[in-house]
Amino acid sequence: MKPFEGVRVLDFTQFTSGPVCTYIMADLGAEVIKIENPPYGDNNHYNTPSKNRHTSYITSLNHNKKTILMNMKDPEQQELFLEMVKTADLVIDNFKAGTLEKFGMSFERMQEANPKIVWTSISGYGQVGPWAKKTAYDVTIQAGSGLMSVTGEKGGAALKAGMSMSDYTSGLYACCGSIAAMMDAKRTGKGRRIDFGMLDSSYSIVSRAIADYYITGQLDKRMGREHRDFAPYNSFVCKDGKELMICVTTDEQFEALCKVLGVKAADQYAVNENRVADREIINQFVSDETCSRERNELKEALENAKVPCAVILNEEEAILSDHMKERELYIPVKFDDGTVTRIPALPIRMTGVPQQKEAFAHELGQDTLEFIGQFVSPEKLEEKYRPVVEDSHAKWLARTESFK
Amino acid sequence: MGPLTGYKVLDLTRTEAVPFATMIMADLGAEVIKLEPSAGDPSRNQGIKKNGYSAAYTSVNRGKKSVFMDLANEEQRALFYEMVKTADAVVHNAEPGEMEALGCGYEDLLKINPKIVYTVVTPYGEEGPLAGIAGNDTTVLAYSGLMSMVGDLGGEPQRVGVNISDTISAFYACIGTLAALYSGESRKVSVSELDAVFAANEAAAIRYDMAGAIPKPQGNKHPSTVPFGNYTCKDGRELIVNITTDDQFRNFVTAMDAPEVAEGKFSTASERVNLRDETEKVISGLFAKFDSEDLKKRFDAVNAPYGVINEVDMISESEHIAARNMLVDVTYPDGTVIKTAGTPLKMTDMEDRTSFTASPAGYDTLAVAAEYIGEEKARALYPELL
Repeated sequence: MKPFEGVRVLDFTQFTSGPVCTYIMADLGAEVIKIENPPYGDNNHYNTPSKNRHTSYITSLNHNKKTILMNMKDPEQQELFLEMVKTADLVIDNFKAGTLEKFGMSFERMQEANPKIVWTSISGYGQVGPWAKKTAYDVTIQAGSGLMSVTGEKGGAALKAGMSMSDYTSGLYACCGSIAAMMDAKRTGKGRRIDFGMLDSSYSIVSRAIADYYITGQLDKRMGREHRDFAPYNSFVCKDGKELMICVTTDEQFEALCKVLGVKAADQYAVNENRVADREIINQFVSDETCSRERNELKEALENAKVPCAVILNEEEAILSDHMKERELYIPVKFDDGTVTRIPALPIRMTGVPQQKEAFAHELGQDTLEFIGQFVSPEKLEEKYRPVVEDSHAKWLARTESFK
Repeated sequence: MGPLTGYKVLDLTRTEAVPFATMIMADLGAEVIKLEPSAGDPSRNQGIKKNGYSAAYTSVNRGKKSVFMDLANEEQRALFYEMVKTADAVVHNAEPGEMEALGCGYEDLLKINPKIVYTVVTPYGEEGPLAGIAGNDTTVLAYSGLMSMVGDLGGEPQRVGVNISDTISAFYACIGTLAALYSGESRKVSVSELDAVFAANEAAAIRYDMAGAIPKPQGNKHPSTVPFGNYTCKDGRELIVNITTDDQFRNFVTAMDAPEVAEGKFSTASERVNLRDETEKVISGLFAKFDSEDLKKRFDAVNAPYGVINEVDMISESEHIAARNMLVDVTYPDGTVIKTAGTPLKMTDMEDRTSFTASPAGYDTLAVAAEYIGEEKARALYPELL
């Protein structure tokens, strides 16, 4: 049985950071109810690319979730929400700070409904603090946190980390905290309110460089492909003009590398500290030898000698690699209308959790009537909620008219 | 005190960033006992140090005790088994097969504690074509496809400036371990770093399927969103923006005295992407009209999201970091203090701390061992420490 069987999550999250947390919980067995504001819902429904109007963001970030439409400005739906809270374990949002409070929600009200409820809010800068209430997105957080400042070529510009790194890692980190709070709520009967700021989260990932700064008074320099603490740790050109990353982190690995290259380094270079001090000499020393070796042959020899090395693969090469294929890491997500696209599988393998081979995804508002129907009368459902669902669907169709 | 108070985790993780996984647990109140060989976790000997304590070790190991443990030594292994009896989780990133060869695999520990949660992090998984091959943070990054996306526009792939593969994997390992503990059942949790980084880069993976996209380094641009990234102001300073909704776009151009730009062909996100070069030209032109401080005020007035590229000192000294208690002290027993980032997990019924401790290698060995086997036997087991 999956670890979160029987767990219900009420999920207001949109864009990336929050949905990451909740799709992982869904993958681990939780029933995640994605709550979207009618008529248009999560803005990611309108950011392309798409397939049969289903956008990439919605598909990958919101797979395995049920989706309902709820207008939290309506006092009747606020009460309805509290009825839902009675049956839930976690409420999670990534609205601007204070949003759910504007809709009459407070942790006290939620606790009255369900003392065990955990409520996690992910925001750019936290619920309280001098910058709370500022809107923030991944790239501005990457920039503000210091993460960008440590990434980039030597002497080059600060760069973002290639993907929505702050969003994604925030979702992961908030997930850890939410689960811990749920664990405690299970044993004590009392939930918790979690205030999670993305800037704080991304700043915490830069912890090493922060410690370096306060010890030396100097900022760590951007190192391109290299690592400030190790040498050789770089890409090297081989005979066929192809590059190979060779990333030595121990003295044993350096010794093994020299054996494979058929050379002997000066005695002092047996020790990493000296290699780092003479980094350029070491880089030259290695590249003088790699340039006479075919990459594939060299890679195999290094692997046999337990020296860490790798070819830099692009996304297609990664997807088509033996590793991804044999471990079945690229799985189909299916919509009810037959649309199928592929996403990475859950990378957590666990006893009692069959390896994830596929996922489902639902359209905007798809589960509204069925889920809300558990809480309201059939008359109310038809009278109040069906028109909302139909209106939303029509508007979604109109707005995605030009989408592939 | 925190939500994980009362939980005990035996931590055999080592090197730079995988130990982040158990540090999160320590931050949340768990007792985390790091078990290290006599030479210590290699990260203790890595990079910049203060009084012999490394930034690399301190930044991911605060709040943990440290006990010397040589699992190849039969008697110390017996102590380990005693510790497992009352532990909730064991977490390690040893080579595939290494722990099993020492009689400390999941099956072995399950016999001792039928509720144990056992988590293993490896670079490439325990099975598969790359299982057992030497790997580390950057080789994983290279294999994952993500490295090929980091770099200047038109430039060569670069590392991310932190051990990002280790860090992402640490998060997944923590999630898996806590989920298993939540279920109350013994489970083995296995995380392959390569799988984890590939999974985190989900946007690229699905975009490949939908659009055949094979991204190259984009600098600070984004394939699905324009405007995005750095723009240079009149005074030469750069601001960074990420406009994802049409409303935000309207706010931005209005704040730059050009509301008409939001009316015509640039009005929708998809059109802005289709007309990328043209859109960029117009936006760059607008930024170039204003000094950065002026623009910051204008954007703040309409709450349009923008950012400044902060160096580590700028953000560390900010009023935000101070107010959020995010710059913390980690103090060693000899009084050495190393400042680093705190935990972003702020929650009710848990103190928001700015002071933490860390242990030198093996510092807590005798005290912890004595808890399990008594002081006399502990001293006999570790004569070298007397």
